Amino acid sequence: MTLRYPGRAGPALLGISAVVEPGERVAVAGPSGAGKTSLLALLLRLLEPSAGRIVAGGVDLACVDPDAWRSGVAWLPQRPRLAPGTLRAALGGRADAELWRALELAAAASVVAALPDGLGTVLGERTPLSAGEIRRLALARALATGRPLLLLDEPTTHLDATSAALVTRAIAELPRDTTVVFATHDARLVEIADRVIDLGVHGVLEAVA
Amino acid sequence: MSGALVRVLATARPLRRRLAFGVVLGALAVGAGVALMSTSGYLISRAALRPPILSLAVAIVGVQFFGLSRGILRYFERLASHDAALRLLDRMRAVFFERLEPLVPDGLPLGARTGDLLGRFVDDVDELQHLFVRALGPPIVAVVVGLGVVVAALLVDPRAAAVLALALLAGGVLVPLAAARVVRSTGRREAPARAALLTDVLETLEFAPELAVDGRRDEALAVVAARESSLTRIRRRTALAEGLGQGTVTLLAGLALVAVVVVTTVHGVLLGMLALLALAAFEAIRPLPVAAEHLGATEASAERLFELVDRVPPVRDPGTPAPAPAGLVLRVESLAVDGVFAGVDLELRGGRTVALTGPSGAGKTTLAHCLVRFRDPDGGQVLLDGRDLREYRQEDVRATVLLSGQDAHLFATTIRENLRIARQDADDAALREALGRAGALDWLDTLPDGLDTFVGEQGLLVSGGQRQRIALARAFLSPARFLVFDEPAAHLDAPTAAGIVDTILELAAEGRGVLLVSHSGYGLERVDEVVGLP
Repeated sequence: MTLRYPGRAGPALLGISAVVEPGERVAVAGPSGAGKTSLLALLLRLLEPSAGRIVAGGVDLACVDPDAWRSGVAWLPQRPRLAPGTLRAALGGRADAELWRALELAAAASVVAALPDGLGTVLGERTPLSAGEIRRLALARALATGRPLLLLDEPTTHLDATSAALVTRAIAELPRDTTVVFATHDARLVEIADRVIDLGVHGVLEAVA
Repeated sequence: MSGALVRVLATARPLRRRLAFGVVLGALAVGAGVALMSTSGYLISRAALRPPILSLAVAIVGVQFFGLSRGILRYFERLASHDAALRLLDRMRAVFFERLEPLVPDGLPLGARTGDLLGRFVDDVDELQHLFVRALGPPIVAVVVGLGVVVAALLVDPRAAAVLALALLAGGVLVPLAAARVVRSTGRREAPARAALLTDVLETLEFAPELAVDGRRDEALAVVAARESSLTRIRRRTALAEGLGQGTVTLLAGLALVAVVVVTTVHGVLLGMLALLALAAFEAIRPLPVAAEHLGATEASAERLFELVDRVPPVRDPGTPAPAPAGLVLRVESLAVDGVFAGVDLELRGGRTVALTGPSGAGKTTLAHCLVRFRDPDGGQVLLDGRDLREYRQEDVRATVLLSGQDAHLFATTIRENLRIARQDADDAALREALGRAGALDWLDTLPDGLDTFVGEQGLLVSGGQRQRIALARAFLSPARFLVFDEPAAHLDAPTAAGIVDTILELAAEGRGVLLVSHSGYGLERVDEVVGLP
């Protein structure tokens, strides 16, 4: 698979080939600017490859309706944001019990518990939450969807060592009916991966472990 | 008139001469129109009797004079009133921006939404320009011209004058009141409805990727469509009131013409003059129904604006500020922010490096905000060269202490302009040097447009790591004596992150004071002091 952005000299990704088996934990590694976020965007079908293809269960993704494909995918963006409105709605508006379970997994239950209005807290332009807290909440949002494919972009960035360890363990211990692909710089998170897709300096695949 | 409008009027005080000039020209233009019609009436009636042509000369000159002067006066009236309205807009925007700016980021209401703020700052300020030209000017013109017309009619025929006065009162007072009543419930809802639409459109665009992945795109679009149609309903009602108002005034004008002709006792040429005078007089009151609606709309907009800018800013400049600090020592003494942290001490001097650590949510960013006076602490103090930060102008504090925040904002412009925010006069060599220290020079050299590369809305066209490096390069460019780096290594791979921390620590060797806010351990062994938040 190759991806070129219009107006940019070189390709963002060049000749990437990789396999992800169901239930695997797959790390996408590589230095800053190697194309990790772009690779996730391709898997989300927010972008289409300039050359090559993505095949899921024997079907070329280009032939699948993007919305139908995405209905099985949950995503933690690189710069997660919580939509304005109540925290409950921003987390996907599921039943509270479900949300709390996901918040526990994402090491974010204590964050919500510390807010005077809990899940009813109204978010907006000014937020009482730190970047690390927003990331854990957004991770909870992705986990709460219960979708079979999780795409996580830097799930442990902005987290202190304790929270990062909790999140890493949660990702490792997710039930095996969930496939997780995560982009990361965090060596400890790479350790739990069943497979590493290492993008080189300019998005050239260097090794598949 | 409500308090909010009175305050807008007070803001417009320096422009009162220009605004008054526009109104005077408007009255003269409408007056010339009325005079043109009545002189024409006289001329037509007179000419029908085929008098010697010389006896018509004065009336002909009058028609020419009023015809030309009406156009010229109208032209200059437009020029003057638009000039005044645009100057007013300019002033209003500056006044409201000055009051909005100190509220960002820590003084905005919790839950404030970008779209709503933008709606207030763009649309509601826009609406205020109509206050004078469309809402307050026309009634003054109507009173002046209306009185003039009635007095003129009185000289010809008191009975006709009385009928005309009644008709003008009905058209100029009752119709606008009725129009205002029709739109009263909806007119005040227009500004909030417009802001709600703007908010939803912006958020649907901003969150488009998340919405698409969550499968909620159609749901979001349906919300936008519903907002749009409710705004359309409000506008349709306003248009209906406007149309009915204008139509009624036209109908009244026709009725007044007939009534004047029926009741008057004058004959001949004066009758023709009187009839057209009556018809023309209604030109002065035609804009009044629209004026009544604009009065309601501007009032609603003014209230929305004051509701926002009347918030107490979290920090204020002192009445008599201390002179700008040299930037020798920045000391934090038993600093406390309610419910976040208490009793924090640290000291920064030129050449000294301090690290601030703590788990996520411990208040590291809040403390950093106290250092640049985005907010004041609840207890303890921050001293810069021995004086409390509150004694300086905020501008002087921020020129001395620079905060390089986490997830710094990139403006939708080129890399060059994004860097020059830190130092306006920096040349390309300086920009390249700063990017080099931030580890971004190799990347820059792969870009065909180099420093002219457009980074996209919110910097979305560059990767997370590159965004972080541009933000760092800004800090390296800045001449500030104290530099506060909030999580500078987030989004960067380990070797790059290590290099960045090394570069940041080198800044101290140049004689600057560096505070490294971080939850990760790298480089902590090399700083002069580590301060931990629990």
